[in-house]
Amino acid sequence: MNLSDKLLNKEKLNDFIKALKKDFSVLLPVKDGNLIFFKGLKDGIKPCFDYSIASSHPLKSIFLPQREELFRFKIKKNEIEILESSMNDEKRIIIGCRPCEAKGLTIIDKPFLEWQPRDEAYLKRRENTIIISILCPEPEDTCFCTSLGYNLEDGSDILMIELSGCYYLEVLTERGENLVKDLPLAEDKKIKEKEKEILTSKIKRHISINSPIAFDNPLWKEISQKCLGCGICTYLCPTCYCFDIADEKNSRFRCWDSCSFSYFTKMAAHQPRPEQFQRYRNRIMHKFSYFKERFNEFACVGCGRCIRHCPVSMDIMEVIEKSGVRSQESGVKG
Amino acid sequence: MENIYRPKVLEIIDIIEETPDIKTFRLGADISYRPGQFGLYSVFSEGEATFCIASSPTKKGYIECTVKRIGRVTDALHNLDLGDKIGFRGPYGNSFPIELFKGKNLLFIGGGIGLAPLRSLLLYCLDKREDFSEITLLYGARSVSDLVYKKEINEWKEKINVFLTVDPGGETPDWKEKIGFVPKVLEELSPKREDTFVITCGPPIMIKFVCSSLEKLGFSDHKIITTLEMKMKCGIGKCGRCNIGKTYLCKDGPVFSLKEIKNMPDEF
Ligand SMILES: Cc1cc2nc3c(=O)[nH]c(=O)nc-3n(C[C@H](O)[C@H](O)[C@H](O)COP(=O)(O)OP(=O)(O)OC[C@H]3O[C@@H](n4cnc5c(N)ncnc54)[C@H](O)[C@@H]3O)c2cc1C
Ligand code: SF4
Ligand code: SF4
Ligand code: FES
Repeated sequence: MNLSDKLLNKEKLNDFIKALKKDFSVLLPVKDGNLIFFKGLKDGIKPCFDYSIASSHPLKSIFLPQREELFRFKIKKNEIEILESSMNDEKRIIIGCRPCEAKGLTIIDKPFLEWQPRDEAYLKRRENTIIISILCPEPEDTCFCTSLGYNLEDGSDILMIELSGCYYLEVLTERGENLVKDLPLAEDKKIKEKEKEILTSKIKRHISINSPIAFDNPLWKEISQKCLGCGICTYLCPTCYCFDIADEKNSRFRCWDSCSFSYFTKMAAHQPRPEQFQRYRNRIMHKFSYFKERFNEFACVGCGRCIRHCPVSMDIMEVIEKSGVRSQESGVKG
Repeated sequence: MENIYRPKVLEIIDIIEETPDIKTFRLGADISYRPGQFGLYSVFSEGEATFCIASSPTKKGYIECTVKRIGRVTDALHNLDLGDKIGFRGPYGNSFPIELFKGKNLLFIGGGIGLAPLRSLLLYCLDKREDFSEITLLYGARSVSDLVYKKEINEWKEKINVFLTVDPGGETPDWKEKIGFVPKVLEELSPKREDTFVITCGPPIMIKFVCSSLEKLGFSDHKIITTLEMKMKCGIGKCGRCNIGKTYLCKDGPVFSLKEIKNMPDEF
C-alpha cells in the first residue's frame, strides 16, 4: 500500500476524533493541574495536545499494566480449577503521545514478542492499539532523545505535527492510512522535515554512547552513592519492563518490579547484588550495554523522566558520560 | 489466546523425606524434557518457585523435584500430602550437552541440594550406561543428615564409582566415608582428566572452589559444566531478573561451561 501524508484542519479535529470513537476506544492526553494523563474520550473531556511535560504515567502502563491478573483459581479440597481472567481486548487508539514513548514500546517488544514464547496478553494489546503520536512542541530541558540514534517515527502509526491552522499527519503504517483515507493530501512534504529539525535543534543535551560502559569501572560506587533504591526511575521509564509474579487468595498476578530493589535478586542463601551500586549499575548497563548486545539498540529513549523525577537528582546522562570514561581500558569482560 | 503463565495442574503421587528440610516430590505428568531443565512449581494462593527437574526423561509418566524448605512456597509445598495438586510451568532453559558426553568419562561433583539437577543427568546415564565410559560421583553435604538421595546412592554404587564426604564435624560415629570439604576431597582423589567431562552443582561458593581445584588438576574450561542459580519469576526471559550481565539464566542457561562463565561479569 502506498502511504501518503494527510492534513487535518484544526476545526475538524473534534469531528475526526468523534468519528474514531465509533470503532475504537480513544485515549487522549488530558491536563489535570500541571500533570498530563491519558484518559478515555468522554463528553466534556478536553484533550491537551500542546503539552510540553511528559505524561505522568509512561505509555507502557497501557500495554503492561502496573498490576495485571494472570488467571484466577478455585481450590476445592484437592481439586484446582484454573479460570482465565477476562482481558480488555477492545480496539484502541492513543492520540497525542510523545514519539519517544511510542519508540519505547518497540523496545519492550523485543523480549516480549521476539523472544519465544511471546507474551500473548501484551501482544494482544499491541495489536489492538493504534498509536498517533504528536511531535513535541517544546522539549523539556531533560530530553536527550536525539542522542540515542533512533527515528522519531519509530513505533507510531501516524506522527502528527502541529502547524498553524492544521495538523500535518505523517502516515507510517497501513492501519494508520486506513484511519485518514478521507482527509486531504499533504502536498508539501518538506514541512514535516523542517518541523522535525526545528524541534531537534531545540534539544540541548547531547551525549555520545559509542563505547561499552565498563562493568569494572571503579567509578560506579562513587557515581551511584546518592541512589536511594526507590525504584521511581524504573517505574516511570517507558522502556523498563521488569515484573514480579505473586499469588493472592484466588488469583495470580504480575506487577511492575524494579532492579533497584534489594529483594529483586535476593535468594535464600545468596544475594548476587547486595549493594546499591551493583543494582544501579545493572540498570544502566542493561540499558546501554546488555540490551544493546542482545537486540542491537539501546533500551533508553532519552525521555528524561528518570532525571526529572529522581528524588536525589541522579542524572543518567552524567552517569553515562562518567562511567564510560575508562571503558577503553577495562571494557565489559568478554 | 494462549496464556503462557498458566500452569498445568499436577498431582503429587509420591513424597520422599530426604533430610529434615528436604523432600522429593513425584508428580504425575507426561512432559518431555531434557536433563538440566527446570520448571516453575506453584502452590496455589502461595506462589511460584523455581526447581530443576530432578528425574530422568528416560522414565515416563512422572517428573520429580527435590525441594529445600526455605521460604513461603517451599514451606507450603512441604505441608502438602499425597493426592494434593500443584502447578507446573515448563520445562524451561537449556540442558546438559549430552551429545558431547557420549563415550566419555563423566565426573559428577555435587554439594548439598545441588545434587538435584545432577541427578536428572545421572539417572539418564545410568539408564543408558553403555553410552558412557567411566562414571564417578563425588558428593558432599554439611553433615550426614544433610545428604540427599541416600537410598538411591547405595544402588548407584553398583554401576558407578561413588565418593561421599561431609564437612568436618558433620560426621556421625558410624560414618565410614570421607570427611572434608568437597574441593579438598576432589584434590585428594585427583581424578584423571583425559576424556573426562565434569558436571558440578552446589552452593555458589562450592562451585567457585571446585572450579579452581579442577583447574589446578588440569581440567580445561570447556569440559567443566555447571548449572547456575539466580532468582527467577517468569522463567522465559520476560521478567528481567535472572541476568548475569547480558546472559539470562532462564533463557541461555541454567547450564554453562566454565569457559562461558568466565566471560560473565562476576555478579552471581
Ligand atoms: C534454575 C534453578 C533451579 C533450582 N532448583 C532447585 C531445586 O531443585 N531444589 C530447591 O530446593 N531449590 C532450587 N532452586 C532454588 C529455589 O528456587 C528457591 O529456594 C525457592 O524459590 C524459594 O522459594 P520460597 O517461596 O520458598 O522462598 P521465599 O519465600 O521466596 O524466600 C526465600 C528466601 O528469601 C529470603 N527472603 C524472602 N523474603 C524476604 C524478605 N522480605 N526480606 C529479606 N529476605 C527475604 C529469605 O532468606 C528466604 O529464606 C532453584 C533455583 C533456580 C534458579
Ligand atoms: S529514582 Fe533516583 S534514587 Fe530512586 S532508584 Fe532511581 S536513581 Fe535511585
Ligand atoms: S531517559 Fe530515563 S526514563 Fe527515559 S527511557 Fe531513558 S532511562 Fe528510561
Ligand atoms: S526468570 Fe524472568 S527473565 Fe529470567
